[in-house]
Amino acid sequence: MKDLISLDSLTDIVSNSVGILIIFAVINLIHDDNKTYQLEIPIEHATELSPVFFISKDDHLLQMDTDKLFANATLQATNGAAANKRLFPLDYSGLLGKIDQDNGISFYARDTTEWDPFQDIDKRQSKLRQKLDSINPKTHFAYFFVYDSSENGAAIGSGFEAFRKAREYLKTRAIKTGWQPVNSEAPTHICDRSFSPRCAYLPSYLGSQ
Amino acid sequence: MPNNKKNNVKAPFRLLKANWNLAPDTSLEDLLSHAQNKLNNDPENPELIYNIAEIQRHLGELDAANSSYKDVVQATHVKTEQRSLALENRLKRARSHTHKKLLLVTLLPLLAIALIATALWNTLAVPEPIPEEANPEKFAFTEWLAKQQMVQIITTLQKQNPELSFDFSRQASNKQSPMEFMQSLMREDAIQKMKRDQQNAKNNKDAKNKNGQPLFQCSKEAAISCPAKDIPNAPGERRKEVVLLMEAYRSILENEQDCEKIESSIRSIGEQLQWRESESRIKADLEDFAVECFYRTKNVEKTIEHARKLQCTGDAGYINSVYWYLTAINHHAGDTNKAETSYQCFQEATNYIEKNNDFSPAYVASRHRESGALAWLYFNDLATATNELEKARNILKRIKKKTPTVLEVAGEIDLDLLETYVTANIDNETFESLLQDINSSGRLTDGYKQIKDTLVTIYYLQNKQFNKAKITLNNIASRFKLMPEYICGWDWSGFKRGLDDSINDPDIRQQAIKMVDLADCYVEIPNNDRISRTKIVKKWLQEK
Repeated sequence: MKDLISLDSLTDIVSNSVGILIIFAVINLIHDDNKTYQLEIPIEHATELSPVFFISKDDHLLQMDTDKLFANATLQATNGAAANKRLFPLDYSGLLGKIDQDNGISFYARDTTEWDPFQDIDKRQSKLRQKLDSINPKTHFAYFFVYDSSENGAAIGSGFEAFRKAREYLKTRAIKTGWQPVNSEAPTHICDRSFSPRCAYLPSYLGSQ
Repeated sequence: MPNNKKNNVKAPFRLLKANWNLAPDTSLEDLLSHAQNKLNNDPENPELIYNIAEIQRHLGELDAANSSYKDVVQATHVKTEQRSLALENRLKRARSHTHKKLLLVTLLPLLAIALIATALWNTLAVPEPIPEEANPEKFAFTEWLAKQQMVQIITTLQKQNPELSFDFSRQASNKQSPMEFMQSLMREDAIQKMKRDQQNAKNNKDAKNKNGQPLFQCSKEAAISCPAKDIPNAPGERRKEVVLLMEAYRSILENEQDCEKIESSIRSIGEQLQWRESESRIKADLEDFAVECFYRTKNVEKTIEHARKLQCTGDAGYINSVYWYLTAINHHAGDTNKAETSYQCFQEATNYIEKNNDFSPAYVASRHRESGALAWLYFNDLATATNELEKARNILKRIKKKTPTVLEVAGEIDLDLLETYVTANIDNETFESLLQDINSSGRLTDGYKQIKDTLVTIYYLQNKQFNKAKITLNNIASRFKLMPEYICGWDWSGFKRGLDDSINDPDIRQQAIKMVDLADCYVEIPNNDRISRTKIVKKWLQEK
């Protein structure tokens, strides 16, 4: 062994290796300076775009037709079915409504079997894909009410995966998104933004901006 | 021995033949053949295989006999295994049965003990009723203390919100204790709720006063004849849930750009609800969205139609809005006479609300500001515009408590005044003083900051303060880079018109026009284009 590797040659090998590593590090640093990062900025901003509302729950997505929902709720309110913060049927994909001063109108989502499974985003001809494609980025953005857990408290079945998938897809079409977490205790609600800032439904910056 | 053996051996064959109903003289070969036939029907029968083996041995077929003996052993082994398994299963069933019995016998007493213990616990855990005089919540002193604290909180709130009045009878009607009422006042959204309640109460009062007729009638135009469907005149009290629902619906309509959709929504909701007199504010709210939307798209007919519908709701809080849109849209349509009449009605409406004590000073000041803007935008009347803005400023100056709303209105008025100062090319000292006020107010949105910097740039250009102009130009460009969308509400038409008189140098005037065009928020162009236009002006400045 003594004949094969002397101390001098070993020192040479080590010092050369360290030198090469330093050169690589410097090149890497220079290269990094020129990198353009695509940052996801979760900051909301004021907008003139109109929201298209979605509820994301149990790996399913539901687009809220606000005209139909408010028309149905108005009918129920006129008939007195919404009095005293009572839950009333909205005749819309199993949603129940409740009207109160703090939250405006709340939408209670239970059975999601009629909703669109989020995996349909990958299917070109699916209804969900068509709904997402119909959003015009120049006039609208998508706003998601995302359930943060399923009814029994397990993380599986929450709306986050569906929301993330939809947001990712919408981003490829330059459609902005906004969201807020909801649960069965504090469900989806639409209230008057002139009375409370928490009733503002705003989009976040797109990552490329 | 051999004989005995032979007899013993022959005996089974005789019995066998008898059992199988064969003649006693049947030969061994036939017996074997018969046995093998039987074996075809019952191949696993060890007794039969054994008989075959025996017959084969007697016939001297020793190899075959040996093989048959082995088959017997094999068949017997299979049967033994089956029997063992059956026995094992029987044992398992018996054990399981015993376990169940044991569990039942063990658990039943435990269950009984648990039930008895629970029943006893519940009986013993019932708290002793506290005597009335020993209940801390009923202490006269505690109640007195809570009342004092409540009065202190209300006094503080009243100082901070002079426009609010506090109704102590709420406490009695709501059956709240002083402590509960105090806690409700300390909630984060208590003031907002109170404002909303009082606004609603005021709305009720308005509705009762007007008796189905608009409160305000402009002397410069004929009495408005409202179709029955446009007047919210159904009897009955305000439907709380309907009002809350419609207030929430405002969040949907606010940014809706499809005016026909807003129109059809208002129509269908109206048909469904049959608006009551006490709900006129909500109907007016919805109509205001429609007017604004149609005005934005410059649809003259629809703007006028919905402005009149808004007027027919009879809500005094929207009179100025009606005449603002009528003035603007008539001017846009080229009907100057109608525009002038509408503006005169706007001024009458402003006087009306100023005399009416239901409106806050900030609200009245805002209307004067709008009056000044209309005078300058559509009638080129700089004197009236300045006069109205001064009126608005004076009203705001008299307000001691500067609430966020007051500061916001003051910021907008100052910005209007800045526009008139630039148009009039006022002296530098007055201009800088106003600019200092605006910059320190902290109430301007990014959109308004762009308007301010554009005006300031033009002022510096016309006064040849090019270095200062470069700085404000940089501010504009860098702010556009950070803004996702350019949102503001500023009509540049009056200012642009005034540039001919205010800037003599044609070269500088051309650059000022470029600045106005790039800052016009009603022209939909991407922010990048606005930045590149700023750069063009900056390049021109650098060449100077």
